[in-house]
Amino acid sequence: LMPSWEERLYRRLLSILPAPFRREAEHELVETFRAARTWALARGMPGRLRFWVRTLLDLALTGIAERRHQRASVATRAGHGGSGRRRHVIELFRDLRFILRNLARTPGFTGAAMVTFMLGIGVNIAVLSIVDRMLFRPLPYAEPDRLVHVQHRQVVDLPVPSTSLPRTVATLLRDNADAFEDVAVGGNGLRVEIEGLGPPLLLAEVSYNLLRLLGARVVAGRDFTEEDTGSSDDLVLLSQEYWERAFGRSAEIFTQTFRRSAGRQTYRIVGVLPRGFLVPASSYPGRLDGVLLEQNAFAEPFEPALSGGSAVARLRGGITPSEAQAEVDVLVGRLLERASTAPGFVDARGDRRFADVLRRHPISVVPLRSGLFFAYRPYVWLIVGAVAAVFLVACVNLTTLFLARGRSRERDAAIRSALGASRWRIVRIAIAEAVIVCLVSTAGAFALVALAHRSMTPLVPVWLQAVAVPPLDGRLIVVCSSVAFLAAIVAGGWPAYRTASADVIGILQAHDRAVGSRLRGGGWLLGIEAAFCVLLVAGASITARNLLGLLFKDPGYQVSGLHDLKITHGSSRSNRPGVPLPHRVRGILEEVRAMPGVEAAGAAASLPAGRRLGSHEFWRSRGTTGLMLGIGSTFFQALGTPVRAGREFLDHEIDAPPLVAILSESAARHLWPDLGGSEAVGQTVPTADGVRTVVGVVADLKSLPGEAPQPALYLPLTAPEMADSVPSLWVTVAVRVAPGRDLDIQALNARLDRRFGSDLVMARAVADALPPFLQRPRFQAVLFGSVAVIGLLLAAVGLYAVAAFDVARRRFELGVRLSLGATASDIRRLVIRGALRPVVAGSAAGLVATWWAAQFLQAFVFEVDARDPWTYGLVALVLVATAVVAAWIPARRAARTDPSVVLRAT
Amino acid sequence: MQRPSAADVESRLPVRPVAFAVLAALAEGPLPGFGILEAVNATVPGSRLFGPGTLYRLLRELRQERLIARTDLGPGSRDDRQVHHELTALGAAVLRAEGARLRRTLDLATRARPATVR
Repeated sequence: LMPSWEERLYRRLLSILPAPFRREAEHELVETFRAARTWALARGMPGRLRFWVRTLLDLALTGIAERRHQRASVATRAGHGGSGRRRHVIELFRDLRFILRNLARTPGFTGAAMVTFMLGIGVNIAVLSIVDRMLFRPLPYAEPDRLVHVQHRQVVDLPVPSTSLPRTVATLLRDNADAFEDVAVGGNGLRVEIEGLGPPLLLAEVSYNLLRLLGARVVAGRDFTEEDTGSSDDLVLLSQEYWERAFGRSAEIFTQTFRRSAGRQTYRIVGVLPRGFLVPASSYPGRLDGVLLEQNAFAEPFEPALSGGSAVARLRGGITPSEAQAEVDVLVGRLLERASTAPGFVDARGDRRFADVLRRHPISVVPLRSGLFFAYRPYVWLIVGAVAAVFLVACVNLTTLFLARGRSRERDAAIRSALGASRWRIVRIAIAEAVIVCLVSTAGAFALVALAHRSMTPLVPVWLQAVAVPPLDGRLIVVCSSVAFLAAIVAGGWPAYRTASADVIGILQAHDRAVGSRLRGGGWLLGIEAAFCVLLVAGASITARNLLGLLFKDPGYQVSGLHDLKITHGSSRSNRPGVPLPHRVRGILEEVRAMPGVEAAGAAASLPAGRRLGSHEFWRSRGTTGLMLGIGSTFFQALGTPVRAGREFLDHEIDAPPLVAILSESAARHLWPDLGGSEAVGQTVPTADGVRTVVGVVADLKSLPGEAPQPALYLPLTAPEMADSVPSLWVTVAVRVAPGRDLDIQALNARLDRRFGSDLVMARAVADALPPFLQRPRFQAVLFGSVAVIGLLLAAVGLYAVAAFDVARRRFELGVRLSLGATASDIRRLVIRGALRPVVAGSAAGLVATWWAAQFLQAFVFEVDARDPWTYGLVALVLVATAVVAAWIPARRAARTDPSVVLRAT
Repeated sequence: MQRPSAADVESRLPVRPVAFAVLAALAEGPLPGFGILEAVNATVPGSRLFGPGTLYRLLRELRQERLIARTDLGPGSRDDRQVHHELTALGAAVLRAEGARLRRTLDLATRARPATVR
């Protein structure tokens, strides 16, 4: 009978076992294997796989155990005494002592290796602790794979696109989509001041079913229910952290009613969220003080385009996101049909606009995992990429250091292997040396990061703080230490393997008389290090320059002191569309202006400052497209935007709008390229409702400091062209507060409430509303700057090490050259040129790589060209200069060699 | 066959769970290697007997301790080439002694009452 292929394979695999054992046991082993295989065959593919895994494990274990067994019995026979294990331990300790003594004998090498590796892994620990939860950890929800985000990427031209889903669509999907078990909405953040609770609470509005959908359970009190949507009070679930901090875990609060500071609204706290609960909204990844029940979450919306925060859905079992996407497309298609055939759906003009938006920007179903931090993800990957590059440079650097050291030890190793040390033992010692260096540095890096944690935290942008894990997190320690361990095995093992497999006789005969003008072996490593370094430093400098540029960039308004208020001018919770009443807006402005510390205030449909532009129209004239925005009087004064020519709107122009307009500088330039900006005043612009006279030209406003200006046309808030885009329920007010003063929101609320019964819906400083990478650009510039500096530092150390060891090796040759008449400067030039060659080649390769990578980088930088030749040139120059300096010290030492001493010594 | 001395048996106690399982499996009669493997893996959770090699090493150890021996089932049996293993007299005695020891331990354990909280 032919043996099966598996049996033949097994027989072959047996060759990894020690020969005596194999000879003795083969027959029985194969016999048992055959029986086990027959048994496994009856159990199908899984059984067979399991069988092979176990068989391979068995072979490995047997191989190891049997080898150890034989060594022990040989030792016993040879009369060495002691058991094999004991002998092993003794050998281990001897090696360890040898390694430690060696490391202590070369403090320069040990210090350089440790410090560079500590830097390399330290930045990684610091950054990973911040982004780990965002990129790698499973989402903190039940069965997260079945959760999806239903997104509507509306404003695609901003670096951080909005993803909010119109409520009409959310309701439609919740009621009709079979692919979803349930759909919840939420995520609009707001600050609520509650009497007696001190600073305002940061709450997110959510629909009643969000917690249930996510599989989260309240830890005290109760969850929202569908009946709650009819409650007259506002209902709140507090975060566990806030509950503990403010109420000491008291259960009494569930029966109390809280009043909103200066308002009629009352609140009831019904329960407490689980610890660390994360509202799955892309716009609000941060930690909140709680969630507020949004009572009208699924009510028939009166304004279809009203943006509605994020929508999360749970897929029915077995349904994939793409299947759900197909169903969503069908349902939305039907909605669009309805919208176009029945113009009276909600409001003829508004509806058409809504349908247009839906057609232009489709709705997508994405797994929650990629949806949750989606806006931040590319940017976070950029940072992770940068620190990973630092780590790579550190690893190459470590390898270079060990290689240089290994070369200086060739003789030592050769003698040892001539005396009978096995190659494996030499490699093992080298690896152990690298492992010790790496693990000690990693421990040091953790200690440093943990120490610096407290002082670093305020520098980290708030949205990142909320998801960061403490640096001494178990998972992080395991991951970083294993990465360090692997790096050590490669960085220590490879050079040692080279050294150990070197030609023993050759080395011993050549003595110290190595001759050659080029670096051996380490050269191309140095080239790689230089290439990585150029990529890293160029990328980091471009990013840092971009951030610094943003810092000093004029966005067209003054960020500090500018506040953005949203004030209802109807009764706050009635769902009836109000009419923007000019006199009411004016009354609200009067109240705002009367507040202490307020320097100016102006109304608008939305504020073109900060995160995203809400309500606006577009205009098109003479081949130019731009924004059209409704504003009130003294609006630009409040923003701090200079009026270049003419004037702002006057109060009476808001009350009864005549045909006037204000242009931004770029709009004026576009429309009348041959006129100076100021001469545009008095010209006319055609709009939908007539020909308007330009009364003023103002500086360009950019919603983000780094953006290109969009030509803008400003009309009075009450102009008929603006009827569609001016929200019917609230007005946005830009308020400039005197330096050093704060806006007393409670007092303002009280005034508004007393006079109009209107509510301040939202108040925020514009500086807080900037997108993530514009928050604290200084911190981020420092981050990228230090990444660049660390990269340079590592390259310098690697270069120095290689050049220094090379000089040490070539002492004899240099001595001969000196005695034959070479001058000191000849020697210096020789050494420096030898070290520079790989650096120059590596830098060139690095520049090419950076050029290629620039296409990805450009997505993040808008201030500078990612292929800026000056930056490239400068970085390459700096690296080469660093190389010269690093090689200079050993070169000088070489030039000072006394030839008679060197030649006599050998 | 010589009767195993008490000292011989005592010096081999206690027996490791895996070894005990092997001896127990052989109590009913000679078994081939795979039969032992199955029996042990069915009764000892987390056993490190993964396959032929580890099994062989264990059997060799037991053989050196004179607890088991190789046997031929004789030319009449169907699978006459296959090596079988059987208990020696010493092995049977050790199995009995270990069983008794475990039973005593079990008795002690069941007699113990949970401590009462005062």
